Amino acid sequence: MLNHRALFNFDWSMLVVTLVISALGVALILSATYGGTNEGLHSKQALWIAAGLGLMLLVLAVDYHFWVEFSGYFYILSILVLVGVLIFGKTISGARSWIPLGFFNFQPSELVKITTALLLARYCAEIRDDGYRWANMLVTGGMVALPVGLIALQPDLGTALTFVPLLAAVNILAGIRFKTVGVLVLAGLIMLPIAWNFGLADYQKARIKTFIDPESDPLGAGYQIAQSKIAVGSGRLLGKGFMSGTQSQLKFIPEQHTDFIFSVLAEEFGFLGVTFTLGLYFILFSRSVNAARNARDRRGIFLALGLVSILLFHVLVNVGMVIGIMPTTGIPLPLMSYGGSSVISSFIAIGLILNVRVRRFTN
Amino acid sequence: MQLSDDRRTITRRVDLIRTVGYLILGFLVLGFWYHQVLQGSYYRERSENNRLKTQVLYAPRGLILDREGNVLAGNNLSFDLELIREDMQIPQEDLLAAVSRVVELPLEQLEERVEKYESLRRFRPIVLKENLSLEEVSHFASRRESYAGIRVHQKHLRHYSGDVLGAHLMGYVGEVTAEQVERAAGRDQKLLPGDLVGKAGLELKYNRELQGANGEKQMVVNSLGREIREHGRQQPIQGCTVRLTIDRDIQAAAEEAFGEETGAAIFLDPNSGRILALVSRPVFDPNKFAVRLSGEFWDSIISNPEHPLQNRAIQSKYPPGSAFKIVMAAAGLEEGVITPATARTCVGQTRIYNHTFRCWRAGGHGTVALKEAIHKSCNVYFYHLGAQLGIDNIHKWAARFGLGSETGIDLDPETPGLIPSAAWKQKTYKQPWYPGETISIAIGQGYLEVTPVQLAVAMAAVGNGGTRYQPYLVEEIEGRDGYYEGRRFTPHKLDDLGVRPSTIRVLKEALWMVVNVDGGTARRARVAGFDVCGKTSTAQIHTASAGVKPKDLPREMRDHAWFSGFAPRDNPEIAFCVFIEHGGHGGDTAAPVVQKVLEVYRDKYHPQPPEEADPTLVARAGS
Repeated sequence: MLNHRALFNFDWSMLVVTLVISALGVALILSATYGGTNEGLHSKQALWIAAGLGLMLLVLAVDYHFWVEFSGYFYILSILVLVGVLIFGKTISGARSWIPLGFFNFQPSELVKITTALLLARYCAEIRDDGYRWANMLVTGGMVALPVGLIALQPDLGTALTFVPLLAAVNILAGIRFKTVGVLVLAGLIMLPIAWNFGLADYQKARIKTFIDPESDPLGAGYQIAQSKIAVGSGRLLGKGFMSGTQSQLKFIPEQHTDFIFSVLAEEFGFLGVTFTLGLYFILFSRSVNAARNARDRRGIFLALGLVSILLFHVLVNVGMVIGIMPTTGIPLPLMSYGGSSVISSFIAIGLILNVRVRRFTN
Repeated sequence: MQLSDDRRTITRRVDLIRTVGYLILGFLVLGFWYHQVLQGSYYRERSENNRLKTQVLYAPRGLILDREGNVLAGNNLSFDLELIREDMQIPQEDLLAAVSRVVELPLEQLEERVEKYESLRRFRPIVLKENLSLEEVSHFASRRESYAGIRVHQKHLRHYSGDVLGAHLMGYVGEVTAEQVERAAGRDQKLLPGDLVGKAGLELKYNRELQGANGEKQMVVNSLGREIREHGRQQPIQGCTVRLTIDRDIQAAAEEAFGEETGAAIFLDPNSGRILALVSRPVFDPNKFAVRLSGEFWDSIISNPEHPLQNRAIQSKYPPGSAFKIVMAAAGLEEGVITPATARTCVGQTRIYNHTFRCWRAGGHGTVALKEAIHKSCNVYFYHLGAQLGIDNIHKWAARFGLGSETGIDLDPETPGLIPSAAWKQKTYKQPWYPGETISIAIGQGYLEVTPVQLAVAMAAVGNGGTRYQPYLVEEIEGRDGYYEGRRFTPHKLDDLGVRPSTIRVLKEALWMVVNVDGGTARRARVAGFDVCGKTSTAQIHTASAGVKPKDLPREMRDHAWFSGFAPRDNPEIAFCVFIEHGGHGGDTAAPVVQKVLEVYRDKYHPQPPEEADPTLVARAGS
């Protein structure tokens, strides 16, 4: 299915960057779990990466038009899985988000982002310029609201939030008017206090309060942020050296191999390491946008940009959280945080973006 | 065309999103720049504090020894209960409430303490209670798990082996004040809130040397606070040993002889200024200050009308009374106003400047020359001498004897006292000096104010032939490597009295007569084999009391009694001044104190050969 021309169009740099970030993640997981109860998880992560790579090639082998064309089925299937999770799922850390598969617990909400992106690409590609109406917005909004609602019921607000940039990107591409944006923002502001009082659980309110004032509860919810900031800041320009971060090695930061993996990087490799890694994400992002710009059709544009928006949002919230400029939400860092679901869905997303790029000229 | 336009529009929107993405990544880089580069050193320090738990290893204070090496101030072990907020696992209120039940201290008091040290780093211990009983120690030690954040800390507690012995010399230690912490920081000395420092006496004066340097033990801890290994240790350095000029035996004798009186006594070596004993009464127990003070104890000290914390030897100032006649005699002889043979007839009173001035002896002393005038303390003789000399001459000579100014003793705060002059009166009262005022100055009353230590130093100078030495208490501060290089103190000559040897001879003769010739006022200071020389005197507090026997007056109306001098007459070894508030006649109250002390001194430094030798011992020595 991949012809000679397609191979010529393959974005090797994006693949390399993806693999470098993943390898860095494995190394950091090794460091973060060394001598702790989670020791050895880095090799498991390598397995997820291998699996992700395989799935990526699978996704890549089939023209993305196929995936978009049949996105309705994938979407419905994933929604059904979400409903199933709510009924039969396994509860971990207070959220019924997981399907136990014996050798690992799978988090379907990660995959639903991709099926939703596919469906949105299929729908939005049909809307002409200046043709984006309230009715269209209701449809796109509904497509997102359904999985968001189901995920919020788990409850996993953080993951639910990651659909917001997808919806935003799609709306911008479809040509939402500034006036409409204004109305939505206003409505959001009005809804905010209502959501605060009725929509949020106490622990969620506590997290937001902690985000605003981390020192208010240094032993409780703010502990993680405070320790993470110490780890990051103490890395200074050059870092303390691989496997030599005191905060990391003495396990001061809970979840440092998953959500807080970036703090390990920052402590052990310093600002230079941080800049290097964010540079890798920059290349990933910029190559993805490039794939979208050069896509053969609107479906490709919507798909690539929708997916990369989700990835970038993950980077923003996760990396920002590590230095306390974003609230603690439990969103993993794509390709680096330990976790099979996240790694596999990241690889699939990148596979789809590569797909758009590879097939820019094919008919 | 349509499609191409379409394409251009959507590309613009793609570029908008791209810009947003770049901004987001740039924003993150800036965030890390701020935390890692700008704030990096701050966070590095915090990570070190995180990783390393620092325990203070308190330095024991330096010992204070007497001249023979007897320990006057040392250290005992005691146990403190400390709170380390960082390690708490239950809310602070609950933990303190549990502690409060065990140590039987009100919860509010504990909370108050914790609040006082709020500013300390959370891993720094806050002392909740000092001097735990052994039951309390074992209670907390055996339940370590349920008291996370509570620690029993062993430390050295200042202990004064003689209890009240030399209390005003020792002073006391107490918790450092916020200002002291700041001042110490300015001098490059590390003090932390809660540290004990000298607050008075030698503990204050030589605090820096006595304090020592606290050490530190750094433990690497993991996130659970478990100590993994020792990272570094800085051993505490005990404060320097301070050896005093004080002789504990003389000090003890002086305190015992002083009894329940209020006042002060000083004994010193006239040939160097070394102080052998210094007493002030009433006294306090410095051991009670070594633990954190209870409110009631502090109140009882502060509200005591007798001000037991005051060191009367250097701080109380009173007219010197007749002892001033020594200064007058020296002035008269040196200014050429009189000779030793100059005689005057005392009929119990005299008229000068149209005023009648009475002698203390209503019947008069008859005709007396200078030595008899001192011997019998005839006021009339000195009234006339004063009138002849004038106030400014008197001022000049009193100043040479060191009266009215600080002696420079190594104790704080010393009171200067006052010697009046015409200029002083003009400045202070905007009035001229009236010649009549000179008459009361001439017998040591009026505006005159001297401290016991000044009078002792003046007498010492007369005894040693005319040299004033600065009195001092510290013989040596032993050095300690890396802390203090040590220091030996040597006698420091202040100045010479500037009187001729013949004058000294007359003064010494007269002072000897006061004690040893019948008719003198200090018969009760005689010490066999030890020619005591001295002068009793009285600081009048009530003119109405003249002629009434002191014991017939209520205590607070009785005059203050002095006795000052030196012994023995030839080559004196010890000079003294005893001051007893409301002691009436110096000869009755102050002189016996001196007598008892000098007997102890004589027996210690000039032991009498045994009256009859044991023949068996002699035989054995001969064989």
